[in-house]
Amino acid sequence: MSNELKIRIIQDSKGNKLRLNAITIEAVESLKIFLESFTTLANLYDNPSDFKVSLTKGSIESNLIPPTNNRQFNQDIKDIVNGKLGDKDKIKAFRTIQDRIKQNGLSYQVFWKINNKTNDLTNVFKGVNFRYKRNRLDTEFETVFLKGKLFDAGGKTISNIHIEQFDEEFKIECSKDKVIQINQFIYNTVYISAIKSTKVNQRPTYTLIDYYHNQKEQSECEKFHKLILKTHGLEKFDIVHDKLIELLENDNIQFISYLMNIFNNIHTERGIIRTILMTIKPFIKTQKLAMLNIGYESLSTTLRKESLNNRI
Amino acid sequence: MLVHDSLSKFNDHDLPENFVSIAVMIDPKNHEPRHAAILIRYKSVNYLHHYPGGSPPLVEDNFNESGWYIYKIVDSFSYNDPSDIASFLQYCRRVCKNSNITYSYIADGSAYTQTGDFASKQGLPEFGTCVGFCLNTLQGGMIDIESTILELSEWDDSNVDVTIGNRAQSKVMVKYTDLDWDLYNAFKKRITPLEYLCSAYFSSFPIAKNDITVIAKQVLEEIRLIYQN
Repeated sequence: MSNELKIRIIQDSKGNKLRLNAITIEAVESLKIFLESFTTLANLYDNPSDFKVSLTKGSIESNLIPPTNNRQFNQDIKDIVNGKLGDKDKIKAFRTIQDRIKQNGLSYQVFWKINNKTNDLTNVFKGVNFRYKRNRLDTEFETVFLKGKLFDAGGKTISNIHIEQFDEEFKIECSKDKVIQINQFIYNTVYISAIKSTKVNQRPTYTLIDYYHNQKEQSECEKFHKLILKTHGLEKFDIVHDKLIELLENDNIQFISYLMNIFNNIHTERGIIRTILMTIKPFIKTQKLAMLNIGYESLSTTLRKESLNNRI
Repeated sequence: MLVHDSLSKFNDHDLPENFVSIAVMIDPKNHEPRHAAILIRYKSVNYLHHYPGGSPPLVEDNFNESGWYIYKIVDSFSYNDPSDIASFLQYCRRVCKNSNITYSYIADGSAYTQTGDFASKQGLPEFGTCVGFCLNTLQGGMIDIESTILELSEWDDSNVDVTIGNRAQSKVMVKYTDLDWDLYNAFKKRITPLEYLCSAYFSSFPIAKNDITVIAKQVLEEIRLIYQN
């Protein structure tokens, strides 16, 4: 039997079930989008005329049937499910389907039938947006640790701090709240961490992550961050967990805060963020960790950003 | 609630390559769920996290038993991100390593804290069944869940297998000579593996017993359909 990519429109926005012999206008719009996307997709493969489409009765089901010898299509579906970046034009066609499915209103199901087994891909299409490979005009991001004399802090629309280290000046963007806190160190040395963003052929820009009370605290944070980044096996999650437990047992809440902040960005791998949250979760409601609540919520929000259906 | 085509049979599907799922072992005779587990797939390798009951809980690496496991993917764990799945796998390994669970039909809302001390909510030592063990594990791993997956107060001991329950209790008596038996009996309850599987269909917690009961029949029917083919 052939493989099939099946999209089923189950209900209209009023909750009524849909049938092929009574299609509401909004469902027709969806069907049109799906059929057009199928056409676009078929034309991106080697033998477009061998692709077929079928409409099945019952719910409104539109199916794209790739030719049986087309392994590339199978691989492309597999890549989409596994969140891998794909070919720009193909991803755009799948994104068109995905955007329609994610709109509120009608309810849909998506299935991929391969070798007679049916995989439910509804959540994949309702989840994180499919992405395509970009070319080298990317921005590169790096977590950096800086120290220097704070010689300016403020800004009217965009707030930032300015530090000087060995005749080099750094402008670091941060929130107004952070400016006020860091300003207490004016004309003294400050110890900070920041995200350094570098676009090709442009000067880097800096966004503040955190500031530290002294050199020792900054060094320890930097050392731990480096350790996690360079540990490749699953033991890195145990290292994070064990460190947090050790800090909890020693009541070192400040350092827990440093760790939560240093890993709180979309460039940190999800597993690290989840491990921090899982470890802290049982204790977060206790009085002892009250000062970590904002950091915990913020870290949860970061994890939620690229989650499926907004669930973590 | 759409139950049709929502369950997967292990190991008929190789997509996706990474996921966390609520899994149950099916009894070949009556096609009903009889054991609870968490099936994790990480980089296309399968791992089974479960508490066999007669032996300590474990994560089985390279799990490969064909045919008698049914699973439903939990989408709190991003299955397009191997790192997310890997962190949960490591957490499960830590839970097993630190667990001192004794088999009993007890469910008191406790969870696995990761410190090596089972954080009992009610003051009981670590008790549970295969179902309780898996629910507690998931509760610790899913950040959105503030308390418990199920509304435990709505379950009681009416589904307890008396023979198994008595055997378990006699082992408990030997292990915990100072146990508060009033407390033990107050939290005696049985959640079935079928009810555990049904919890995979919900996204707000805790889940009421009635909501589970409403879909249980459809889920059982879906399992029977899978084994008919």
